[in-house]
Amino acid sequence: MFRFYLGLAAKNMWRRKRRTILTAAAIAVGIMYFVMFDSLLAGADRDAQINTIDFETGHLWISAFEEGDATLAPLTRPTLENTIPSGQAMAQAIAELSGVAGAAPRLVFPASLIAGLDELPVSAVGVDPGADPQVFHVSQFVSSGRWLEPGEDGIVVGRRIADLLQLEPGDMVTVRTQTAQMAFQAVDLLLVGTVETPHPRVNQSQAFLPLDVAQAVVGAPGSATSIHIRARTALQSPSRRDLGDLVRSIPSVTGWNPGWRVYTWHDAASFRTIGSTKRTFAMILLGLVVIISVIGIVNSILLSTLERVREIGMFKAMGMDERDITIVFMIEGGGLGLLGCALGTVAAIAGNAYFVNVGLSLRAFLGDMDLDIGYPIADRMYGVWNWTTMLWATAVGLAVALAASYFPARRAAWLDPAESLRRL
Amino acid sequence: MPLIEARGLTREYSHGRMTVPALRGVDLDVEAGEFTAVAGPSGSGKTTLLNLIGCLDRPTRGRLTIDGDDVAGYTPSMLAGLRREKIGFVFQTYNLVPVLTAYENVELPLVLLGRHTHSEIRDSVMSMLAEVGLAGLENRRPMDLSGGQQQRVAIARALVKQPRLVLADEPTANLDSENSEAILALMKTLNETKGATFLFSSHDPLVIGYARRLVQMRDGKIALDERR
Repeated sequence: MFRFYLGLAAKNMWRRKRRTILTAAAIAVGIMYFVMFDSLLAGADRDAQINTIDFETGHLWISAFEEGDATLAPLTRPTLENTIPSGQAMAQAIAELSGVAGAAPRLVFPASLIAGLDELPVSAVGVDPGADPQVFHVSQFVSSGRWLEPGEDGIVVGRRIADLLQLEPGDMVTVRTQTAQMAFQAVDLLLVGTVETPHPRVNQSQAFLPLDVAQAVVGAPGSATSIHIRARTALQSPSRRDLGDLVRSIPSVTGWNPGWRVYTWHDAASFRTIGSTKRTFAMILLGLVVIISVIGIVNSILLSTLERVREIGMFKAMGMDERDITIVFMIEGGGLGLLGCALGTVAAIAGNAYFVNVGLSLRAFLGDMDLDIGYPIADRMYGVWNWTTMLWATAVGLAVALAASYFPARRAAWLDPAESLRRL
Repeated sequence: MPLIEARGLTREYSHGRMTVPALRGVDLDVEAGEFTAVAGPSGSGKTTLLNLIGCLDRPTRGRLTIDGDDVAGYTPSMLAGLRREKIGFVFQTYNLVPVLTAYENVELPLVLLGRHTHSEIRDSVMSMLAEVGLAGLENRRPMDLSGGQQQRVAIARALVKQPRLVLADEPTANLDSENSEAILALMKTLNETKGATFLFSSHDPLVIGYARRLVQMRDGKIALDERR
């Protein structure tokens, strides 16, 4: 009997081709948008994780800041209370631990970069030119000049900063800041290189100088605001659980201060934004798919029941009961949903293939601005293949189609048979 | 025991505050195998009577027994079961499913019964279509058939499950006289060969002439009941 109903539903859908195609197309577009945007967001999430690890935090970092301030560390002036006094020595000790591929101290402080009459606020980052590349990838993205050498009075700036201040390698710049003792301090440095990384914040707001020079500038010799650690793992973005053993082993190093804390890359501020943005966006799109499906299916099935009142009366005269009639129309609604989901999935695969292979250029939307939109991605957002999302979208589309067709189907099922047969 | 036993069958319709009686206390017995015409002018209550006997509608008052079962306390689902098992319908406007072929339309009642194998259904449908003179036209859709052919499909659909009772409401009203006579002759033949009880309504003297029993309705009551 069910097979007969399936055939009947298929024939009725085929009979009203235009309506079927329009309804299915509306569902398909909704599903396609949901899958493609989810793919882009998941891809951006993946790239953002990699960029955060490679350019912002490493897998782990140690900070002397209070927990609530940890994410604000780059914007906070280093004081004697919030620095790790023997940062360099501590980093070397941590680098000896098993499971650690590299450990690098950083001294981050707010500064102004002055070139001629132009001045730009930046985040100055004192790095150990030898150890930093073992944790971060900034040195691999030198766009002009070269990376820093230990002890030199040199500076490397993000490409955007160089463009704004019209700097080229070989130019002199002045770094002005305040010391840990609140005294003003300025130092002239030679621009040795510029970097253009996939992380927009590095390009637009960071200036790198040798750690010993930075320590001298802020008057905190040997200190670091944070120590960054790269774990020895094949995983690009290891989970908190993967990093758990290492997190627990770090406080065992000699000289550890119980006031310091070990953070994982998951604690970075950008990820809190990404998580909530992604969830909100995904929910909005899923809501859109549901609304489109409900309107399309209810409209289509309602019209179908109104056009087929006599047929419903005849079905009842033949002995179909309310349940049978409901099933007949729900199969039709489910069929529309299935067709929409199938078309949507095919369209989503085609569209997503473009996003996965070519990506979506942010510059096409934002221009050459290196805007920080909450994601630590500079240019292209790439999609990912997420078959679970496609299955979910299809399941939701189908479930919504069935649920939406239930009410007009029930309405049809309870029509009075004698009244229905009288209808012209 | 009569196949149909109606006692004091009354049907009133409410239109706002007004109550319009369509049937006023009809008593009627129909024996198995009868070929009965219900005649009368428009508004005399023919269709209402057939709808009540076909369990498509419920009486306001009175008692109705079909094949020994008093249907008064039946739920909608039980009434649907009764129609499925025991009653075949032929409508004035054929009411074939437009997207289904002649074969599929005739197949429908057997599919709904749900107790026949695929090959049994095929044999029954093909032989029924042959009996109504539509052999070879089983794959045509209603729109590809003439009015007379469509009504033959409807008769085949009503009879394929071998019901105890066939109700036909104005079965020839949309047909020319030649097709009307052919359809009536077919119904009479099937009544004789299959033993199905036919109860059909009409106000056409030609149709009434075929009946072996005539029930004449007027103003919701039986004015005349004669066997020929």
